[in-house]
Amino acid sequence: MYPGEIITSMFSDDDEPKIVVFMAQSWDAVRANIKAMHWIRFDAHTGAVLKQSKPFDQDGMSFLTLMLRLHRDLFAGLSGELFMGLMALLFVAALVSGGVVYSPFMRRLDFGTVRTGRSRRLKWLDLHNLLGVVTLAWMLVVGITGVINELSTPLFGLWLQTDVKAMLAKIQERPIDDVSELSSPQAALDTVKAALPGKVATSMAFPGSPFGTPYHYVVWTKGKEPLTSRLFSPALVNGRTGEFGGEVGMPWYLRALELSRPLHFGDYGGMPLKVIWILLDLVTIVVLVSGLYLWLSRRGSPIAEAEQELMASHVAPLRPEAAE
Amino acid sequence: MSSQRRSYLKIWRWPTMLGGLTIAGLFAALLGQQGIWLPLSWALLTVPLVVILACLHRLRHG
Repeated sequence: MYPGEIITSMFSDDDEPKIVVFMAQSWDAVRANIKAMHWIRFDAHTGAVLKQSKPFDQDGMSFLTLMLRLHRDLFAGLSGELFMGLMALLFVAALVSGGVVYSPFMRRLDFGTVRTGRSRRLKWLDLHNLLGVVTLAWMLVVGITGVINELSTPLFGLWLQTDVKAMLAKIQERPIDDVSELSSPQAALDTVKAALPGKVATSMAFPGSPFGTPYHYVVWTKGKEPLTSRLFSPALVNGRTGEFGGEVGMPWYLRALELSRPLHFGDYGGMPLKVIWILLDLVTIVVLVSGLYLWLSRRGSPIAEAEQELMASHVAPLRPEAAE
Repeated sequence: MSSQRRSYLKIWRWPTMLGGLTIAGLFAALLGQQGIWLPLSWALLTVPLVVILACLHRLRHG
């Protein structure tokens, strides 16, 4: 369909039988502008073309991509990611401190009590405590995995600079820069399948790809068990000879990152889990907004004194006679 | 509401239980991925939401 162009990578969908092939004019074009690539989606059974994309830089952004980028990096790249990561860290700190002050507030209350009779602020204080403590574990998991996700760029960078660099430094070959030198990609896949019978191949980057190496087909594989299917490892196949080049081990911090993604996004348990995620998100928003309200209205309130008293009752065990 | 002081154990009994169910629900779907594990995960993660509704319902109706 595109004579003269190169294939940069291929990807097989794990939900539906589809294969996506990424193409570009040349590696130089890709290195100059990563968004110069485009993709073609094929039916994995019939080989029919299902959909074609424009080059990425000419393609509009979908609503979800827009939202994801706002959520992940505010369109500010790595600094945006680190900023949002810091925000996530502050969110976790707020959860922990909220948990710490929960005890003194609840000294004289049964779980789930909401005092409605006395003031609006007191009612919202109780609601904030109730909604917050009930969903605390979920919010902690989403917060902590959010921090880890925002560190993905530096973590991958660290891996590339250490393990991957050390591995590639041992190779004394000439980089492959002409397509005619390539061995068969199908043979490369078959080689990986034979060498790693417990794994499924999900995608492959062609030699020269910025996401691969200058000498190898990089075949990404994952396990077949529920847990191991979350853990991806690259396997290498020599791009000239077709020889199996071994599996690249992934360090623990990238394993943690891989497990953090589903636990942050909640997209791993069907539609009901997504609905539960939305509801818990809404509860979180109420907790955040009510916390802001409680903080803004903290002065000049008759409740401020009551809070002081509650806080005091927490330290009272030092002087038991003053507690009651 | 009473003036009786509650121990840490009593204050954190419900939150700890709900936290345990939440974590179990999150990992049931992650490690199970099929069969009974998905509905189990949905059920476990719905418990905190049901507790919130129950408390709000009690608030409305005595």
